[in-house]
Amino acid sequence: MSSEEDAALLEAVRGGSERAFNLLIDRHQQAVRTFLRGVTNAADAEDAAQETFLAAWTHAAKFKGAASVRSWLLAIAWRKAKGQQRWSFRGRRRDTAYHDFAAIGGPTEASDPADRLALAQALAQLPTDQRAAVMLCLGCGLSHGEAAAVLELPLGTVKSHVLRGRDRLREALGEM
Amino acid sequence: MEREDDEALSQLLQSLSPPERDPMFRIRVLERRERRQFTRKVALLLAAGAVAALAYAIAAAAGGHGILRILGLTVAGVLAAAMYVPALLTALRGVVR
Repeated sequence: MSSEEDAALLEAVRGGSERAFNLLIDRHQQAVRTFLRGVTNAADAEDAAQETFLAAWTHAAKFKGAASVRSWLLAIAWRKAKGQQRWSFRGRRRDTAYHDFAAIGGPTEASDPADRLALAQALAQLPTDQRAAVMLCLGCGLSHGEAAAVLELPLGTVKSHVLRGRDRLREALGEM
Repeated sequence: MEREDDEALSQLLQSLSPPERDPMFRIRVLERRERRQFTRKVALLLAAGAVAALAYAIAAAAGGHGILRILGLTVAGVLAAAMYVPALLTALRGVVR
């Protein structure tokens, strides 16, 4: 889907179109939820994903077109996830990595459950910003520049987060 | 080699993805939106009701103070109308259809 089509969709959402809102959710829920599942626990990820789309419905007029709609939604998702983290206990994610992993639904295309468990645990070891940068660039396919805009971090910082995060993930996951 | 490694890691990260189409998620978002709108509406009605009751009580207690009485009754009347007129219009629209 092109960014022009996405912008037109958001324009319709701004006008109160239910159909456009449904389409917006259908088109971007996967990216938003994948990102959030990587940066927070499964239950919080679903909550933040729903809140992201509600914020998009309420604040559609704030979209200025500087970034793609997907990046805009991911930026909202990131703020929601950070807001949740302020209220949760430190280290909670690490402690509950296994349960979170078990709660993650979806098709997961024949991925090995052991791999997914290892991945959830490996991700939990990364600092939050690093995890977010890795998820955006490697999990959601954003460029470093787009990820920097989403995370509101300098480009160099994002590049370094992705490099370090990738290395730490490989290390944690064994010989990848 | 590095690129292949990145692709393998990307694939693994994408294993966290939910289905490409997930109507249940959409329904949950819409349900949450409706619930929130309903809660907001109820809170507004309750607040307007409380203010209207207070305004009426002030007007009733004002006794001989004409201006205060008129002001209280006006506020109570406006708030009561604001609360019930939309519901009344909706009901009338339903009858007309």
